[in-house]
Amino acid sequence: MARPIWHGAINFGLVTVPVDMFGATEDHTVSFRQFERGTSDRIRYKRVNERTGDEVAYGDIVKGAEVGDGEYVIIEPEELDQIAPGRSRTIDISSFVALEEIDPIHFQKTYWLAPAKEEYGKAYGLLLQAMRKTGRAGIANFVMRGKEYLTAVRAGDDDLLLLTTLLFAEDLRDPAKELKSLPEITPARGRELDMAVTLIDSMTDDWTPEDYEDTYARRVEKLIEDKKAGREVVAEDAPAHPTKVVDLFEALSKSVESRKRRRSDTPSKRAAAKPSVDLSNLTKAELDKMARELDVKGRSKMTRDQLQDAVATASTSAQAS
Amino acid sequence: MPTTPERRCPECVAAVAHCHGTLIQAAAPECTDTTCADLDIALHPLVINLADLTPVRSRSVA
Ligand SMILES: [Zn+2]
Ligand SMILES: [Zn+2]
Repeated sequence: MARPIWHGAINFGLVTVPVDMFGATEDHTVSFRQFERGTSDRIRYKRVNERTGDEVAYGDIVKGAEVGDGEYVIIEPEELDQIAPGRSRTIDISSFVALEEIDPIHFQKTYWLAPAKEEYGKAYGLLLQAMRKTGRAGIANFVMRGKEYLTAVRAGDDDLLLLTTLLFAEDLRDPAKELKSLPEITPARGRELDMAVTLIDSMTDDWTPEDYEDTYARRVEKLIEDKKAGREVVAEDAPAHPTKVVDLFEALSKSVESRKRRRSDTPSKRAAAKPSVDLSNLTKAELDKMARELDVKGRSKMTRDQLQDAVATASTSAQAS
Repeated sequence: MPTTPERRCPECVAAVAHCHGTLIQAAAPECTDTTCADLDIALHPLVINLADLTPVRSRSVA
């Protein structure tokens, strides 16, 4: 079982709910270790005193800030705590915003907030349901490990509050300062723009993250397995180079055509979503996936039972049409 | 209870998940602790930027 990475409380008006914070995401890619070529010797990092060369223990490492001319001010963690008393123990919701208002450029990492004890479940549940009902996210600041975080707290599908850390506005770079030049956008020609919009329409789909797989990580795993088994590693053919675009309109209309052909070859999602299983045996996540395929509106706010009813109704009407 | 560093570590005292390694922030972040299971910055009280690790003399002027 995962250990919380932070204990504290969430403040919502005068209501305080003690919570534990857990990481909600993880990296699935193959993590490589480093070796010196030709040996089986691992590369290690050592934190040493620059002058003596001696290794320094974790508890003896303090932070220093340069104040110019090679001079440093040493800051102890307690001193950081003292400048923002209480901030490292509470997540204070200062306002609520519609989640769609936040540009994804701000999103960093997401955590679960769970009630610290069963007895806090009632207040926790109330906050969760109120957020779900309004579809709004609470904006909150809090301090963790000597760093202030701007966060959005919202109701997740698993009946847990989700906290997503956000970049501050000052963390966003100004492209005019960073890029050599900004693209010059000339107004697109009518029929080209129409055709490009048609292509986008023909490729428009529901967002189903399960449909996307890290095929590169799978290849890396296969490469490792093959090498371990002493099998020959065969280079794969590089994908064909795209044909040179001469006429933008022609390229677009060809793309729309091939898209249409592909659509008519595959059975529609509606037909594929016909439930042949007993819905009462399915988990909330499985029902949610079916609801998505059946275009059930408002599914993110439904309970498991409501989802089951909605899927049953929607699949009956899909079969009838 | 260990007598040295851990005793002074507030995270160890609070029994929250954290790492005693230094997280090296880069495009592909790394941790000085080879057993580090999660490179989340929130788990690392000590963080350093890869650029700050480069010795001054080898930094190119170009
Ligand atoms: Zn510790
Ligand atoms: Zn680490």
